[in-house]
This record gives sequence, structure tokens and C-alpha cells, in this order.
Amino acid sequence: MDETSEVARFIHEQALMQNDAFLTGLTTLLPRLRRFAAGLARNPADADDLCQAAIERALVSRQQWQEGTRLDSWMYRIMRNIWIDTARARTRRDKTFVEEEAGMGVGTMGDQETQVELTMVDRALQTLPDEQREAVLLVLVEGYKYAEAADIIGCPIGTLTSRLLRGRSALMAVLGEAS
Amino acid sequence: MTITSEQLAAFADGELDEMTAARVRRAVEADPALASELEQVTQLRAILAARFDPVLAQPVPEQLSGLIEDAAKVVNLGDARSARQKFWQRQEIRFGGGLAVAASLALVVLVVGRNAQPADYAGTQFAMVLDDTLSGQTAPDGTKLLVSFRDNSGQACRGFTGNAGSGIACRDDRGWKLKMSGAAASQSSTQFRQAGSADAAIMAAAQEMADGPALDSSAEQAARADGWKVKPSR
Repeated sequence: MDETSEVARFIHEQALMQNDAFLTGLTTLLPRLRRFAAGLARNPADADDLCQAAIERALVSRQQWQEGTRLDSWMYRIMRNIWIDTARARTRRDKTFVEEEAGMGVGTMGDQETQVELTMVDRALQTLPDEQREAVLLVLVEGYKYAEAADIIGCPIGTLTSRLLRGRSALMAVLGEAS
Repeated sequence: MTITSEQLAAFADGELDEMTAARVRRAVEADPALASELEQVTQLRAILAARFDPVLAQPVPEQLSGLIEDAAKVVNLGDARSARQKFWQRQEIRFGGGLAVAASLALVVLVVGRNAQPADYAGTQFAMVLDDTLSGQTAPDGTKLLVSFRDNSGQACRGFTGNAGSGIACRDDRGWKLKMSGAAASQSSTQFRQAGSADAAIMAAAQEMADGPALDSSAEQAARADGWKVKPSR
């Protein structure tokens, strides 16, 4: 084996290992990505479509992910951006189909009471503007620190905290009223 | 000393430094109204967790895990071919860390014509499509040409999508060689997956491979008139 091909093999193996780390990391993240998508999208089918779109985009642009940096933030950012990109279309569509969707209960397990409450949480979240909703989900559901959530969204921390605060108050008001 | 809602929330989220946290803790102990507000803030997290955490326990649909499994197979296929094809002498590998290239080397037999060309070259019919169709146009067989560019060996390359599949082919002295191939143009019309994800994938790959900007329409027509010959850039 000449020198060139040895170098090539080395690079190749590195690439495969890096690829493995990437794909394994992605597989590990899937349940969390589905949870985030469930909060962003309005029904389970849309949520999995959103997940799928995010994974496809990640696979296409995987060379943009720097190994050693956090794959989770990178993936959340991709998913969040796809979601935002479709936000305008979604808003238009929802104005047309709001009644149909309002009739859709999301909770499928537990007793009647739980089911009602799950639906209430979804509805409460849907009353939030997109930017408050993503802030609430990233911090309160996904457990990101303010700085991490701001980084995923691409906004200053101050912006994130004020959106979070407003979203949180609105949610508490809606849920408090209902209970 | 008053505690703002923001501070209280930050306290609940564990975002305060030790000293401020201690201050909030004392204030909460001393003030039942503040304690009840904190209770509400904490409860919201629990309510959201009860709604969304069960998703973590659900089995991941095959539709999603399959995407990643397929991507892993693609690399292995590229790997298997490398031994036969002097893969590492290809110039693309010298930039981009090789990862995308390895992944994109699933030289799927997309258009195996009944001709003498090796399997990873376009067949006669498809070669004509690549020869004749300008970017932005759709050939009679439904293939849409997306972009033309030159790679860093000066070969003319063309990105396309179609019902049968999508990919990038570059013209060498034997014909149009498929450098990358992917899924068929998406027919899905659901909210997040409008047709165009295949296009985007090809465009992204083209950008990786291209040495310089895409050919504009006059450069493309000149290349076509010239038979898509190799044109060293420097």
C-alpha cells in the first residue's frame, strides 16, 4: 500500500467513524426530537412529518455539524427553523381549518379527566404566539438553560427570558381559568 | 426588597446565581403570596411534563428510524465500491472532509440503459436528456434539470430530479457519470414535506461539489454547444 492510499484509508476510516457518531447520535435523539415536535406541531401526524423533515435536512447538511459540538442543539435548531419556515403557511391554513382542528383531542390514554386536561394543555399552548411557544417548550419541556435555548432560537438571552415569561404567564392564566 | 416575576421564574428554572437564589428563597419563605406564585410556576413544568414526556416512551415510527438506517447503508455501499473504483483518487474527497462524499456515493443504478456503458453512467436516453435540457426545464420523461456547474476538475455537472430519482451527473470522456443519486422527487404534500426536499438535497450537494458558482444560462448554453467538455478552471 503506497503512502497516498494509506492516508486515504485513514481519512476514510475517520469519516466512517464520524458518520457513525453522527447517525448514532441522531438515533439517540429521536425520542426527544419527537417530543419537541409534538409541542410545536398541532397534531401527531404533523409532528412526525416535522421530525422527518428535520432528519432529512440534517442528513443532507451533516457536514455542517462540527464533531465535538452538541448534536442536540444543532438538531433542535434545524427542527425549529423548519417549523418557523412553515409558520406563515400554517397560520393561513389554521384560520381556515380551525374548527376541524379544535375538535381533535390529543390525549389518548388515562381516564377521562386526564384526557381532558391533555387537550387543555395543547389548546393553551396553541394560544401562544410561536416565539413564546418555542421558548416555553425549550426551557420547560426540553429542559434547556436560558443560554442554550437562546442559542437554538438565535436570539439574545434577554429576548428569550421575556418571551418565556410572557408565555408562562399566559399559560398559567389559561390553565388556571380552566381548572 | 421585592422579587419580580422574572426573578421568581428564573429561580424556579435554576438560572440564578447562589446569592440571588438565596435572597429569593428567603423572600419566598417570608411571603405566602410569593410562595404560592412559585408553586404555580413549578406546577406548570409538571403539567407540561405530564403532557409531553410520555412521547419519550413511545416507540419511534419506522418512517423516522428508517431514514437514519438508510443513511448508514448508503455509506457502506460507498465503502464497498471504493476498493474497485479507486475511489480515493477522486478529487472531491480532498475537501469537505470526505463525509458527504462517502455518503453520497450510493451509486444507485438509476438509469441502467441497454448499452455498453458501465452501470454508473447514464444510459443513452438519459444521456440525451442531460445533454439537451437546460436548467429550469423539464424533459419529456419528467426529469427536471436543476443546476449546472463545474467541479474542481473542470467537468461539467448537472443536478436533476425526476420521478425515478434525483442526482448529480458529471460529463467525462465516456459519458455522464452519476456522482450522486438520491430519492425521487417527493410527491408528499403534507405540511412539512412539500415537494422540493429532493431538490434542496441536490442543490446542497451541488454546492459542495462545485468549484465556483453555478453556470448561468449563457455559460450553460455555451457548455451545451461545446458538448459539455471538460474546461479546467485554472
